[in-house]
Amino acid sequence: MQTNYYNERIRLRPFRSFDEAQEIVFALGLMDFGHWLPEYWSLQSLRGFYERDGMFGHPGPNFMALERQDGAAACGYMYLELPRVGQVACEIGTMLLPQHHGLGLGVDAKQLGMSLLFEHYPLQRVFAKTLASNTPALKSMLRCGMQYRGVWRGFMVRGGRRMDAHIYDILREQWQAQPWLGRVSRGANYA
Amino acid sequence: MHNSVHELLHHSDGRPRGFVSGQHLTLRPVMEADLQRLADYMSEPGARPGAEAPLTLQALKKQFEDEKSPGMWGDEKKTYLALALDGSLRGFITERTHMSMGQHIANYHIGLRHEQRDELGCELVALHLRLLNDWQRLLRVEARALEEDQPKRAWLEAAGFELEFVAPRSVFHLGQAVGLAYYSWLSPELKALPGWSEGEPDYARRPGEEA
Repeated sequence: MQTNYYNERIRLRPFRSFDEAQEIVFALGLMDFGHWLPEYWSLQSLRGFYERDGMFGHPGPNFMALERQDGAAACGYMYLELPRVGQVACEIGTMLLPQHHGLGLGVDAKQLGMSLLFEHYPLQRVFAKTLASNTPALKSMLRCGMQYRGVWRGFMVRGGRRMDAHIYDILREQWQAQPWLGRVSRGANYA
Repeated sequence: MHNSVHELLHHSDGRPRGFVSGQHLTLRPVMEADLQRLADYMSEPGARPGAEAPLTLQALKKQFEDEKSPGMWGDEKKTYLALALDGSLRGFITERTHMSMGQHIANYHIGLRHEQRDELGCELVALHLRLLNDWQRLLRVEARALEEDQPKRAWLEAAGFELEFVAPRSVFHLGQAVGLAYYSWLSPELKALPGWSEGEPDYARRPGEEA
């Protein structure tokens, strides 16, 4: 199975060490950007994820590192749900460190993530969710070919307001027709 | 089942004892002696949308003995049996709780071959909502049904659930990928809160962004 995907701006790959996973996943779990629930994982649970299979390779929630092509260090992580037997729809999500926000890297990351899923599993649909308030994320989903599917009303409450989550998805044939697909490459970085 | 446990689970007239009862059904938690019957119900087509992997009695026993949800009754996952007045099984509810989001995800099922299935299904959903509202400050309950499962969708709608959207080709069911209908029940309290579209709260802006 090919676990390295990249385009001209970003690379999707497994975490190289527990320390790297800690610096990214644990650190992001402690931040609250106001657009999502804090996705906190304790160091103990992260270590268990890492020691199991490097955080990628089992049905259910998995994590991979995102790395900018213009810098060797990881800049965020990608959440990829891998399917159980018979599962035909899976979820993806991206989390970037704050200094990498606003550059459209989430678009690239989602393109790579959905390509990995569609190319390795018989999935029919890949979906993502974000709060209705998270305009950058909503735009990034549209830019990578996903379409608005619907709303989960009252997904959470913050500051006395009801926060809805918007669901976006892409079907297999829609992914195959994406103009950006030709810019997706597969292979490890041997440098 | 030990006699004393059997007595605890039944009224003196033989009716099942449980958390809540309606005209036809009583909801109570799962006992070890129920597992074989429950496995049969859980294995029916469409009983657990999106979880169509085989479910054996042994797998269910492991769930029953799970440390996080012993007796299939934990903080995050609960299973209710729906029993008829004569104590026979009619269906089940599985419930997952997302503590951080204050919401429940429920799955409802009545055995496919039961007569008056729709009447039982409506009662099943209504009893569950009644119970949840009695026990806690309930905000949101989500339920999913196969797009083609019109009976179950009608049970949900009768109990006050509203359709949020239908996601196409979401689960594999009887040989093909089919859509999944997402429903939710919102508490009046949650419905009354201002939603996102009515104004952007300050905390949602990044540092430096203009109000």
